[in-house]
Amino acid sequence: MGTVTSRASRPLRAGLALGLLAVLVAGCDLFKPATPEAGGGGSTLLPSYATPESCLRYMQIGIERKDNAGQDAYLGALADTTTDGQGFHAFFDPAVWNAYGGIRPADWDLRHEAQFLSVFIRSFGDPYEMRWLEDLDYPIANEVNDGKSAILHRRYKVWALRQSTADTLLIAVGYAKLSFARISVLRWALIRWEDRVDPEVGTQPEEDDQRTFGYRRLNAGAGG
Amino acid sequence: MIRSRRLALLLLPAALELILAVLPGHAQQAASSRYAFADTTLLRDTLGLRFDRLFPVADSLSLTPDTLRALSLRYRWSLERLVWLADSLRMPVDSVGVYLDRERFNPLASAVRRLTTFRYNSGYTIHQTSSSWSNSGDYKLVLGSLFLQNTTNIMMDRYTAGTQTSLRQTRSSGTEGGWRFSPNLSLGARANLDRFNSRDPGSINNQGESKNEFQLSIRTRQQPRRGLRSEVNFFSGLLDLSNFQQVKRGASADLNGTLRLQSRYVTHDLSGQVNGNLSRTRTPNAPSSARTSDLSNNLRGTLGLLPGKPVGLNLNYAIRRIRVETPTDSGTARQVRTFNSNVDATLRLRQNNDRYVNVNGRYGSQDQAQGGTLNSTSSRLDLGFGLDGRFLLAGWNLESRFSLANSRSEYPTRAVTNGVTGGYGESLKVATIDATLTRNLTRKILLRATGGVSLNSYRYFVIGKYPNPPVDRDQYRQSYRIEAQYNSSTRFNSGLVLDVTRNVLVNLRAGSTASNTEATAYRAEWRWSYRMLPGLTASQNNSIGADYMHFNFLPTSDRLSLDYNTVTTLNAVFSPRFTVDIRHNARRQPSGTYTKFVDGLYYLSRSEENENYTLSARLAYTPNPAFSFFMQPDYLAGERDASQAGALVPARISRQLNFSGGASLNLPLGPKGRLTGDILRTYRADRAINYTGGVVPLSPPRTESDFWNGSLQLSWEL
Repeated sequence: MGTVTSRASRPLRAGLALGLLAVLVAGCDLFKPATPEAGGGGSTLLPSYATPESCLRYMQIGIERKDNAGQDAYLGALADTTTDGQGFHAFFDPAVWNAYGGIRPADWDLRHEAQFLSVFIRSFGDPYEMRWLEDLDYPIANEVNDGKSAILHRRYKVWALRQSTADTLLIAVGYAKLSFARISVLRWALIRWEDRVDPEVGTQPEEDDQRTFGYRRLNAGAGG
Repeated sequence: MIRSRRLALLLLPAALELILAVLPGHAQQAASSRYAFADTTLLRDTLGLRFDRLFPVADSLSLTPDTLRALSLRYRWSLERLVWLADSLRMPVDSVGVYLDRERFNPLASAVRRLTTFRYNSGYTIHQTSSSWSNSGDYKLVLGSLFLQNTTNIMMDRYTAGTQTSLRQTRSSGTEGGWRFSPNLSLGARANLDRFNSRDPGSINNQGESKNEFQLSIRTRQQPRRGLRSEVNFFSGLLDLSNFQQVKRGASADLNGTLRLQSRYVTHDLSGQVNGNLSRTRTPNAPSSARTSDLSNNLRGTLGLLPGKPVGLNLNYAIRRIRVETPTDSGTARQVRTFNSNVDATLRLRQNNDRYVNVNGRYGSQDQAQGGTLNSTSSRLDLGFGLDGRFLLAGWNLESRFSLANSRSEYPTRAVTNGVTGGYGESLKVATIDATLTRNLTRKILLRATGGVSLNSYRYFVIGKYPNPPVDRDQYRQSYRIEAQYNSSTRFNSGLVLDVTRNVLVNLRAGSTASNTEATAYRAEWRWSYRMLPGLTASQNNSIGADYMHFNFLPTSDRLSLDYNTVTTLNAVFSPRFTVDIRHNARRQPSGTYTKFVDGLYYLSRSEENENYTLSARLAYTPNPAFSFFMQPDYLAGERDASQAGALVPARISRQLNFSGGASLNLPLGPKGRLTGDILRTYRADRAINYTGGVVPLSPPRTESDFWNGSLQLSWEL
């Protein structure tokens, strides 16, 4: 038995030596963030995710700004497994899912959402306006927030603003059941977006632009 | 003097030990210090499942405890049975259920000469915004060499959004009949019918899909020698697909197989599938159709070398290539192509379960192309290297993980700028290292220290012409956590935790550094649990936390948020059938800007303060294993003060009452039937007073909601 242990421990020692080497390598600035360029310039956007509502507000601002700071603000409201311990996942209306002819993603996570957002804000060159509206069946006053998690029901609309009001395009419309988790004192994060088609618009809308976020996610070329 | 101080220092732990040992009872010793901090609050319900030794079993199987528990619940098997099945089938625990479900419908898997089974399941799930009713049945008949089997599923979903309701219905039926010529060969025919319908009240074009496949089936299995088994199946026939996007009619085929090689030194599981169709396809309104062909190739395998030996190798690989052609309005076909491949290898160096090192490497690539439109192509390449290990030495248990991962993604068709199509690429480097040190300091005191560092570096580059690529950035995170647990006896235990986390966001370009932040969070926690009487246990968790958010280039915006939280719980077990849990939570959270004043010191200028109190209870009564009734009332009181003219004034006062009650069932219906699930009624009343300008109260009326939710499943077997 002793011989077996000795043989077994030999490769283990080699492995441990390799591990030690990795730790030494780890000391070679592998974990040192880069130094930013001097300045401190750029547009200032200091998002706050202190409540679920403020997460929604900065997601809205992020879409309306359409710039990098805006994208950071939108994505910052979503849970990130690397920093928050849990991740963001989006779910689709079964009818949108069924109608999608491309390769369906196994899981829509933060990486997919980042790619979708980059495409969505560039889909129309016009300025965007977004509104989170109350779902009349589930009034805001009735929303559950137990201090650790919260579920918000919202109707959403995004418009591409043209020169005249008559030309303004409604480019996203639908309902969402949004689940938030409290990550820390100052941070709530969106962990689950359950998307629903607006029954008044339908899965195959009369106006082709009036799609859900779910449809736009799948058709943004970020899937697979 | 110095000597006596040294002596006093040495005696201090002994004195502490004596003082602490005065507490009554005897310590509850964990089997290993590794599981000392595991949450042992396990599910207790009417399913008759227990999760004894969940953590050690999950650890030895390299699964997370919640995954193992979920598998046990999904298939209603105890942990022992799950592990026994995995051992006897020689497959991973998470594959057992899927494998057995699949084999139930493999005519070659059954050796019986006469069999008739019918199984029916019905489930109804209701939530606040949706309800779902599912019905499924499977039928199997074996008469000598003749076999017939059918599986039918019907799912009806209702979603309420706004004031209207959308309906989604999915129906599928698979029927296969044939002749088993030998234990290794069967011939037959099968029909797969799928339907999907969706209806939205305001929609002018409701959606539907109908798919019919009629195929000949050939199933074979081979065992050329001991330890080598394979299966090859072939299905081919007619395809008829019709939905709002396309009408596709043609011939389809599916060739799939598995190979299992098991020997003393090598195990190899290989599965592959090729399926596709040759069809005439058109859009529903198009007068003419185009010729299309879809093809999907899928190969995946797991190779194990020297299983159970001190040195071994595991290799997983998968290749998937899919080509789908869909019609366009112009009568041509648009191709969607996807190619995925990945391989990961792990070299295992193992002395025993407490001493091992794993070295692993990963490679993965993905390419996707959908026609030639914008956003239609993307690709991704992943490379990774990692080390993880565990080493037990002189009572110290060290676990550590180190990994490096590089990925490169390209999105070359994101925009057209001055007639030139362009996009951008992302290079992501992720480095992580973490370690956990655990030790039983004494028979009653356990210590665990955890630390970790990670850096995510995002770099972007332009492909062709692209006006506004994302900004290069680094995300850095470091954390450490020190926990000590004192187990005085089975009646009393206590623990201390210190947790510090630092997150740094560094935007690298000067034009975007305004939002660079550094967030540091400190949290300290003290918890204790004391069994005052047999069946009566009190627990308390006290924590204080401070979150500092520093804006590197806008220090006047720095924020500080404090958190004081106390949770007190009383668990009473009046009898094995009746339990009561009462919980009180008090939380205070002041927050505001955190700035340097003229005296050089930093001060918190409170701009908001939240106080929340919750009192909740849960009463559960289980008269017999088939029924469990429960009731859960909660009362929440909240106050928020906000800053006005430099002083905190009331902004909102809210009161909330929640009440939910219901029953869990696990009811046998005769020898072959069972009704399981839970159903509950939820009531909620809420009232809030909002202050305008801190003085004028606006008191809206009380709002109430009342709804049923839960799920019930009926299963019945002939």
